[in-house]
Amino acid sequence: MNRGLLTFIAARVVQTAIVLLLMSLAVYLLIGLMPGDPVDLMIAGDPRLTPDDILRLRAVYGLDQPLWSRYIAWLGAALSGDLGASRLYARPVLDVMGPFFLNTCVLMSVSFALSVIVAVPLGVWAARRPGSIADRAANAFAFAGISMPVFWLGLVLIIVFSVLLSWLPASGTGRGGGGAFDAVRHLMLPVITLTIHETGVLLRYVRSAMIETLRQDFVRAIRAKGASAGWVLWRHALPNAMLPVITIVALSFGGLFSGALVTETIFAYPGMGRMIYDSVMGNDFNLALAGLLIATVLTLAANLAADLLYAWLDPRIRIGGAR
Amino acid sequence: MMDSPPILAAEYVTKRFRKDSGLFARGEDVTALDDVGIVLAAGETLALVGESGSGKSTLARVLMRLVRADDGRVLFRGTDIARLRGADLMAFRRAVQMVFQDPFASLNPRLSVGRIVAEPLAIHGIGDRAERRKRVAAALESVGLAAADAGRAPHAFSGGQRQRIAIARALIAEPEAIVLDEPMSALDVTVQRQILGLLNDLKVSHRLAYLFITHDLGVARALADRVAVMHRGHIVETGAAEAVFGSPVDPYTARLLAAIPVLGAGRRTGGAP
Repeated sequence: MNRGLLTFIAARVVQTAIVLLLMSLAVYLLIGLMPGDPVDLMIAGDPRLTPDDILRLRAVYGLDQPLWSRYIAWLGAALSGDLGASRLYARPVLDVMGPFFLNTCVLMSVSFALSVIVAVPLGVWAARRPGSIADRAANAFAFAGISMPVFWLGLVLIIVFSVLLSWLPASGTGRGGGGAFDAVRHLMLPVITLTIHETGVLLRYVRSAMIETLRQDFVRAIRAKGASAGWVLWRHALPNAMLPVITIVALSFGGLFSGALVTETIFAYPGMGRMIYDSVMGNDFNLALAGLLIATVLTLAANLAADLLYAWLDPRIRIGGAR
Repeated sequence: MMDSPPILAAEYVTKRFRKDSGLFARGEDVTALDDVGIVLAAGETLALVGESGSGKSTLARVLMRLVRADDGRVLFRGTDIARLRGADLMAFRRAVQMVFQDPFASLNPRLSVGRIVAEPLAIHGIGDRAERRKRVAAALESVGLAAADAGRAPHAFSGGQRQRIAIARALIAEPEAIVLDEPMSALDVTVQRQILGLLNDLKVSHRLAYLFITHDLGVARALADRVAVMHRGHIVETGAAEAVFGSPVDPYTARLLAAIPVLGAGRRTGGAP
């Protein structure tokens, strides 16, 4: 690692922290502007509360303070590691979030890995002969994956595989007695939904990056030396084509996360998406805030990882210095 | 030398490209090569000259079997290259090498110079690790670079040095012929002269045949034994360099000679060298 790279990393980390701070402010203000607060819900739930009780409750939750001072107080606590308690679950936010977060991570990482495994070879195969039947088929598949909304695809899969064929369960995780096999069965439909969408996006990028690379002179030069088609594709073209693809992959991570949120809602999968949705509906401010900020952190971290990977893969940084 | 079949020969080669024009309109065909024939004998330097767009590079690609001709054939030591398979094809790939115009595009930016130069050995399965390293060092030194340059990345080198790397990559397979597609047109004039000198030296020391594609008649004159003039996909004139430059037969050649300023333009008026 050279000095320039370290400076670059430091600058990006600082940048990430600033974006995170601004995001927390924006999210906090948005949630604060939502109609109704926890006390309104309590009033609706318990008609015997007197106006005095209501004032006292607002003071307990700090809701009598103006929004900005509430934000400062929350930020101070958050920076010291205390994200507050969840109103719905009556437990610390981090404890509540743990299992939800884990479930989403499982869903996302499996879909992500599958989509890379499918999209990269398929994209390379399609790029070998642009315009061929193989290429057109791959393209049609990619466009279908991109164009079908995740919620629609999820519903269609439920209708086909759960309702009509009764092969796979339509909802839940299957954890809690069913064993590993049952858990996998429960994961299948959500994973397939997300994977089809993500594969479509990725396939397009791999294909166009490969076509671009295969047009270059150095590929022609290697072919003229007698290299086989496979040698050219895998040893020369793919490593060069992966540079832009990796950036896109990392940037699409945020999209994968939001896709996961939609997918979770459809399949009643207890992940971050469900948790954020429930906490917003239940005026559970602390939990909603933490959930949304985790989503932000993940997206920013993925972008940072993309930058670092790119810097690491860039031969101008990796091999040899200036002459 | 003239008895054995030439290293490379193109016979009646025609190549058309379809111009894409819009979504529904079927593009017209553009004829890049029309009934082209050339012969490259062992040890000789044939300059293929002509303005840009005349089909020179397309001919080079057809000769290298990078592009298939629509008509006609290319012979490698008397055998049609379209029919070469297996070991015969690999023998052709070894014996005939190519150097491209743009040295910034023709080297894989992700590989070290050592791996770039050693690639033909790897492709053809020649030598072990130590042997390859030795050969890379020798090839780099023969083009005026240092053996230690093998560890560097191509981006650390200037255009002229990169073209030297590309030449070293062509030399390492011990070819009989090198097709050079405008190898100097992307370089500065002073660097052009150095590369020209290098190619001249290598030709003698390695007994190479060159098919030297250029639009620079000065360069063609300095290097070539024979000259073929190309115009709009046709070979309009072929002959010994002195004859073509001294008294061109084809009116296009005469126009070309008159129009293009050449290196050492003052000498050109003196007739054949």
